[in-house]
Amino acid sequence: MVPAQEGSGEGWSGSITVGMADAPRILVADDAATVTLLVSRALEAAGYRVTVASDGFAAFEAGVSNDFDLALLDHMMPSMLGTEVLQRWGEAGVSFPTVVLSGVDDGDLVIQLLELGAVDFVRKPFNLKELLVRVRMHLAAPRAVG
Amino acid sequence: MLHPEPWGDRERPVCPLMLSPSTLLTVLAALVIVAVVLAIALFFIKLVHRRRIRAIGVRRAHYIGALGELVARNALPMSSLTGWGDDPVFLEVLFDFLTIVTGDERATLDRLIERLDLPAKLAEDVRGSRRLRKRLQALGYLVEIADEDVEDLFLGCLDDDVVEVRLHAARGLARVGNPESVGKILDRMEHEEPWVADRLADVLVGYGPAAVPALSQYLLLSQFDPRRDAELLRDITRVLGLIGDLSAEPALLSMVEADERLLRIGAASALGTAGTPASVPALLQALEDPDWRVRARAADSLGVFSDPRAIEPLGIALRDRAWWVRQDAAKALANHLGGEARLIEALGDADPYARDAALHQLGLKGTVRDAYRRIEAGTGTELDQRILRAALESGAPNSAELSELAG
Amino acid sequence: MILNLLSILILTYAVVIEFSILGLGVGSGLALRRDRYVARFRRIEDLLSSDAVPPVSIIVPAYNEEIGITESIRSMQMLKYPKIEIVVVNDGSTDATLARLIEAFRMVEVTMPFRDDIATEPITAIYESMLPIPLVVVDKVNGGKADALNAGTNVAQYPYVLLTDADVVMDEFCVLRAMRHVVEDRVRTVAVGGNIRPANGCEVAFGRVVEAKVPEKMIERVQLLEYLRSFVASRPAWSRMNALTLISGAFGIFRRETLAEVGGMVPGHLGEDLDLTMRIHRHMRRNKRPYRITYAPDCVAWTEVPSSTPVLRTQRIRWHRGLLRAVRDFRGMLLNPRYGSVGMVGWPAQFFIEYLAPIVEFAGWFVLPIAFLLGLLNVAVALPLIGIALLVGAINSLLALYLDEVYGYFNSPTEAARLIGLAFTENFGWRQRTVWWRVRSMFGNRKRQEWGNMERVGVGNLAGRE
Repeated sequence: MVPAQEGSGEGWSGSITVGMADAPRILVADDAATVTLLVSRALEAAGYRVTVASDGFAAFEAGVSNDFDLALLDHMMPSMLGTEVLQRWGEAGVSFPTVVLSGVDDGDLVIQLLELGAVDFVRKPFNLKELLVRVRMHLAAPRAVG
Repeated sequence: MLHPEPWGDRERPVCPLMLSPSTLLTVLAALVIVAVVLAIALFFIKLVHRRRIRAIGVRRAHYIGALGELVARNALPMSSLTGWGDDPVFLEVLFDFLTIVTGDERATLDRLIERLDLPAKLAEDVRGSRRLRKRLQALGYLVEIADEDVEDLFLGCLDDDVVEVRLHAARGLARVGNPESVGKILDRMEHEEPWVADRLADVLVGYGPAAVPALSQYLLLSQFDPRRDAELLRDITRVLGLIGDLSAEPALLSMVEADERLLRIGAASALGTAGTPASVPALLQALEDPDWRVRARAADSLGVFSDPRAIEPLGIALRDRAWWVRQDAAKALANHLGGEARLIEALGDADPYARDAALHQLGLKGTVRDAYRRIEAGTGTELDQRILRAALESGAPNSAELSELAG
Repeated sequence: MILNLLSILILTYAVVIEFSILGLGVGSGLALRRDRYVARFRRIEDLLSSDAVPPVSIIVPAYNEEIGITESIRSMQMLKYPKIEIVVVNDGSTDATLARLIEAFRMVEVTMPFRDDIATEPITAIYESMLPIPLVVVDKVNGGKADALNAGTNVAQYPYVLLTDADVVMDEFCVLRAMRHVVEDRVRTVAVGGNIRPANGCEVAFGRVVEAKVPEKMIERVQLLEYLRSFVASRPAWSRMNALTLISGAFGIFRRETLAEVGGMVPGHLGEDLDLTMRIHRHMRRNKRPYRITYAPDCVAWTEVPSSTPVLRTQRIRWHRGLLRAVRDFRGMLLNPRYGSVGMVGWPAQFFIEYLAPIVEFAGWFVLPIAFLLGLLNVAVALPLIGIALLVGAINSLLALYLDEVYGYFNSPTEAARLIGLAFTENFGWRQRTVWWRVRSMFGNRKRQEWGNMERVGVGNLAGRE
């Protein structure tokens, strides 16, 4: 029973990729190791390549320097909130769809995130199966030209 | 010593007893020991701290992996899980998982919790442990589990000495969701300091619509009890507003004309979220309340309903003495589906404050800028011209872009 | 013989001062204790959705900040707090500060009436953002930082204002943690101060501290210890006694109404934050109104401290001159029972520890060697006293480091060893230099410092005093 990523304890901020080549690449950004583990495991089992980032800044950097097909982004993260990451990705010309995964229950926030370019918002606690279906749906949708 | 001792015994400088060399040297020696011990201790504390964090990190990773596996397969392991329930790190990880999954996965975790007999263990900690930290932690976890069986424990903890315990207990009751416990919390609120009562009010929102009957009743009965605390009642109106359930409307309506100012304020505000267009007449009345705060909240709430009856009164409220009332009335008209016309009309109002308030909102809405654009494109109407004139006359040209357009 | 007595007195004074600081440190430790583990379970996040939390206006004075202003405002927007507005006061900048703001946030000039509670230099324009963000920019004639803060306070619409500076790096929950004290005692709390830490050497990205590290340069490290002693190891005790004499200008939350009552900050005063806090104390106590000025240890704000000697020197001289003026202005409060714990403990502490001690120490530099060389010095008493003073000083620093553990910032053994070693070596040279600057500041011309024209040094007035 080995965790999918090494060093998923505290104080680690960086990213790591696991998976098969040619499969769609997904970025999972959340500061809770429980979430990243669960989600990345489920995604890998479904055949995707997963990169994990555990704080806002790492997520931003990963998103800018790599070409992902989808991102799962948390809102409440240290060093940079999800809204800020989205905004900066937009400014940097990043064009992959982002699904926000958050425990914050605030209508205004959802609106703000959608306006910043998120394609979907999934509340925590979430249903893994449902999440996988949404991911598949958004990956299949034609991408807007950036 | 550079010089020989120049004094005889008689002339030795006098020092108070405390400053005799031997005392001082003892103190000095003691301090040296303290300083060195402290320095070494500090160094080791940091090292130990770091090692402990690492060790905890490893255990965490282990538990995360194990629980993740468990959840992914929706199956409990066959082997026994001795010791897990006693490890605080495991509990932390377990409860982290509880907050992120739902559905089948949550059910699996619930079964695990039962298997480990956690509710009983945690309840024992809450009741029996002397250490505040342990009690609070266990209580916090119990709140997450929100088992009906522990409802009695929560009720008991509502009377605890420690504030945080009381707050956690109330949260637990809200999560269990039994409407009968609302009354107990209200009783508690009557005896608490204002800030604790505020926090308890926040907790009450967690009950959702289930709490509305009890809260409404409390409000209605308060009319016959002069002793009841106005601040507490105002808190309750706030809770009703936040819950947003329409069944609270009758109680709130009865409060809009209460004697106590705080109540009127609270009710006027709450009707915005817990009211229907049926409350519009009452809110229009409140728009003429002697207290500006009530008027302001009434204006705010009226902006929600887009009821045509409200347009003219809000337009009149733009001339109100109080700044906040004017602002809220203008905002309400800006949000109102039919209100923009009234705002544009107000641009020509005799009252300069009304003009300012209207212009402010129209500026933020982009109406002014759109008018300019249309004029520039040659499709400007007479209305647009009026807007343009009003904006220029108010003496505050909007951004560089607009003054450019104005020529 | 007089020389000997004088020497002993001087040394005793130094020892008493050091022990007093130790007392403060221990007191702070006790005050922090209960707070600590209850704070873990306080679920500060719950306050985010609470209506009971009052809205706050953040006032940011800006003078020639074109480089960092948009980043700074962006990061302030991301603060986790239910309701906030940001009021940037452009204090007659001669660079592109205003233009940058207008462009980045799509600002529109508006007519916004505001309450003219505090007299300031004229305001030329007010801008609001067309984006759905609560940002207001006030453009005014240059008047200095205090004047800018006053103007911002006038324009602010919320009942609480946070007076800060453009280059302060705030922790996301910072404002929430500080306002918690207001939530818990709204009637009495009129001001809350934060925990200021040097940002030097730390990794900062997009307006947040990503990783805290011990700075490389000695000069910055010494200041780190100073800040730790001053904030972590003394303010909790003062806060408990309601005798907190200084809320730092880098991060201070005030009730707007109280600021208006005391007339805001005094422009041109070199120690405007000390002056403001003391005036609030005086005002409330004279009028016999129950009040509290608190310190929030979990509210961490980072700021850049001087990293070169000339800049540090200017800063310290400026601070001390501010202190001198305050000593004069508030001499009526010294040991005056009418002013309660501030008059009897808080202000005397400032007086004896900050004002008088450097003078005494400076005098000691002459008296002791002369007494020694003339053979009049009772070395058997003097030497141990010196040793005691130095050791207690080191213990104070160690205690501050110990209390700082709760934040968990520096855990590598090298960093730990460096700081611990510094606790001892600080007393040889660094301290003396500060004393010299302080004494020096008492003489020389009172050149008025234009806060904007100085080299980029960070905040105008912090409280890093011992």
